[in-house]
Amino acid sequence: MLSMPVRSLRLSALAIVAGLVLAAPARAAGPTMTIELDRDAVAPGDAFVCEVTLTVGNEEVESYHAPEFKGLRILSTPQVPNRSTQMSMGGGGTFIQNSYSWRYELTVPPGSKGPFVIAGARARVAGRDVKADALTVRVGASAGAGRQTAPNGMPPGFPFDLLGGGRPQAEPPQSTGGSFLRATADKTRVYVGEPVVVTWSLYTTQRLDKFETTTEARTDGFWSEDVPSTAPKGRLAYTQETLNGRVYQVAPLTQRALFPLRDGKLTVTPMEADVAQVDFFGSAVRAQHLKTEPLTIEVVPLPREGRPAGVDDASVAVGKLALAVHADRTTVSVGEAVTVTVEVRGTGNVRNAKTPALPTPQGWKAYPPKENVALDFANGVGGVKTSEALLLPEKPGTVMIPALELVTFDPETKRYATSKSDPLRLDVTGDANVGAAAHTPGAAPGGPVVENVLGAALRPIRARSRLSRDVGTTFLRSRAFVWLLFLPPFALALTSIVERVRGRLAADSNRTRRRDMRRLVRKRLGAAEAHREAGRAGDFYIEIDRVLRDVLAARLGHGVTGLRRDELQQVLATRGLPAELTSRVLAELEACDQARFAPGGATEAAAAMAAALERADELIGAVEKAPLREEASS
Amino acid sequence: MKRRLSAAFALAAALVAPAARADRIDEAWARGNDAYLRGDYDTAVAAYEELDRDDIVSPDLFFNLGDAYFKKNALGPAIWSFERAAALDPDDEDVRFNLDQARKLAARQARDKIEGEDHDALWIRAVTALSPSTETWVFLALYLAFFATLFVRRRADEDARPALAAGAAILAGVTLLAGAALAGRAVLERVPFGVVLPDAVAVKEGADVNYKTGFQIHAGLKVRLLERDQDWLRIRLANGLEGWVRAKEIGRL
Repeated sequence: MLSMPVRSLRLSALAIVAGLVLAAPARAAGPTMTIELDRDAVAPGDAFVCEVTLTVGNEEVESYHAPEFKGLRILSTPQVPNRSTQMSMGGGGTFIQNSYSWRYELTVPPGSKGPFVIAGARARVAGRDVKADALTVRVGASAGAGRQTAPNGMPPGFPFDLLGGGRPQAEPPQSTGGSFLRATADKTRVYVGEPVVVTWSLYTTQRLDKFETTTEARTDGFWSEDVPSTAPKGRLAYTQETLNGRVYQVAPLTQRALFPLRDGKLTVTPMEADVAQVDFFGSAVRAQHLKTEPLTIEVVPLPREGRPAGVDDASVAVGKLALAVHADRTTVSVGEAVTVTVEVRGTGNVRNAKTPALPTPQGWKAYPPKENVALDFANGVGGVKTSEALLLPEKPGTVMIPALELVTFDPETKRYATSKSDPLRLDVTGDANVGAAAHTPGAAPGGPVVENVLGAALRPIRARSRLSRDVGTTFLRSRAFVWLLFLPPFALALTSIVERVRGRLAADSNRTRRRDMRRLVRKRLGAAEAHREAGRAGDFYIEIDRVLRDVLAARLGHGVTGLRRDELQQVLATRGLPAELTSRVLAELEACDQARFAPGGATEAAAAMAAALERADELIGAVEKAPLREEASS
Repeated sequence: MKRRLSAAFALAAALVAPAARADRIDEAWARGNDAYLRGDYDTAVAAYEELDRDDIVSPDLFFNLGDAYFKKNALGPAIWSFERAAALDPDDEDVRFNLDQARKLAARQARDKIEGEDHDALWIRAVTALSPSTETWVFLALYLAFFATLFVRRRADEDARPALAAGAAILAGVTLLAGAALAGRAVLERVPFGVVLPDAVAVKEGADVNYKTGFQIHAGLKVRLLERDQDWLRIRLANGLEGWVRAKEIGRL
């Protein structure tokens, strides 16, 4: 591989030195803004370039306002400016000069006469306003582009390294030196808007060491898109091809998709290039100047037949294209933005397809859409064009965005069709007051002062009218999480303890019986005490009788009600209750029977009841503690 | 009499001041949003920063501030703002998305990146592989399943108990792993981090401008803060490189 020739290096060094020298007056002049076209006059339908350049020192560019292109059609606008920085040293310091340039691609609508004025470009630099002079666009015969670009984005004159070429075998037809350039189009008769792919190739039968494009082909009347090359940058990729019976090494130089902007016979002018071989000392030998033949493309207007009524040429999308509408979310709160995307996808003239306008639902604010085109040349000329609009709901409810329509013309079938999107439902929740009046009147929907708010693939801001100050919390940091952590082990431990206690209690039936008996005794003695205090002797002795019998029943494990005294005595004796205790119990029961019906003074009765209560309490304690034998099984 | 009047004025001022502050906050918020939607990002940033200076802590505020900085192509402050919003609400998908976009753009703009400067340690990548809520729910599901298995085992037949015990053991192991991830995240939240704010920052070998520059870092890079010496911070990159930068060049998280 050869490096850049020494002479070129010297020239480059001289250019750098000259640039440094020239930079000094530029920095002294302060910020400047210029605006220029790539040609003197423009023919209707021709695409041309308008470039705004802002040159500043090290100051900060605070804002930039694009010029107005009144009457002109804008084909593309830059998202960000191109920036270049130049440093120069001298005078005891280092000086920096920054250049920002914005490149607009425009066209004069067919039928327009002009002239047109491009004005209003301005910027604010370090607190100072800088303006560009107005520029007049003359409409007339095109003078052609003044600046040209080499294939693959290389500047004209960039020397390709062509070593590695194939074996020459035959003389090409258009060159005496064995090399020629050729431009081929995949179609020569197309409709307005239908893409034509033109390929410029180098054919050679000999070794070539230098290749330099001197004149690019002009494509006036077409909108042009470069088809990305798969070849390594700066090198040509050769393939072998047989033409008119001769074998050539063929390298594609560049490929462009051309979209006719008007009907008629449009010409692609020749591309010109210099090629040469390099000798041992690096000098060019056997230099040749090559030139393609011009290409003529016949462009016919779109047919009237079959076109839906009321649809003009500009509204027809040429190609196999489909329309779709979708939103980044379909359920939102009041004040939260929704990005709705209108998408045209398919093969054909995607860039110039006019995306249908998105209607603004009532109670919503809409901001101007941002268009984006991504071309794809993998399967013909095609891609996707999107128009993203930001919608802001101001009240709750459900709205439907109706189906949108796009009229297309398929050049292959020569038929019109209408592509429809699906209706889109958007649900808004929340309170109308929350999202109301978040914006000043200057931000009216669709108003000219409102700039596009959609950043490159950036989720939009929260435009609620009140600032939400609730610090977001995750479940991880919440108390509920801590509770959930403690609950299962706690529940497991509790269950285990409860089950163990219950099991232990169930195994001890005597204790349960005693506990129940004590509860009953307390209840009966309490009732007896109440009767005593009230002076109801009859009721008092009934309670004493019942409590003694209940205690006996609890100890014996069966009831004793209805037993005569001799029967009760026998039962107690059988179960081993001490005879002395048995006698006391039976005597007390007897005393209760007698006292219930015995007459007497109130004072004596009260004293007797107190004594009876004391005895009963003592007897109950004794019966509870007395050992008993197990009842014999029958 | 004068004392009573003064007390009345003081009381009135105390009652009115919170309402006035709330109005001022809402006004600045609306002003910032309106400016942003009109494309006036400088005004938007100024309004949002006014709220920030007023000690307003809100994920929405930092999210919008991040968007506004992003639009100004100030990627360092944008990433810092998104990081602050993410710290307050780690599950906010919009915040995560915009933070990711800003990081990608910053990575494209930084030409001379240091190898591994933003390649976090394995344990950090492990504990932050899932979102906090996903990690939490996975852990809780495993944790509850483990205890549910224990409950079932208590009441199950003797034949089924060994299988249930094995299941509980496996669940215990996986639950411990998920719990370790959560614990790691908690530890990570206590580590002081900062974000590089300017487009490029020269990292010095000591806390003074006269020290030799060790290396250079770029906007949006997340660094660990080790110590402070007056106006200088000692930082550590993910790959272990350490150095000193001016404190004002780092947005503390």
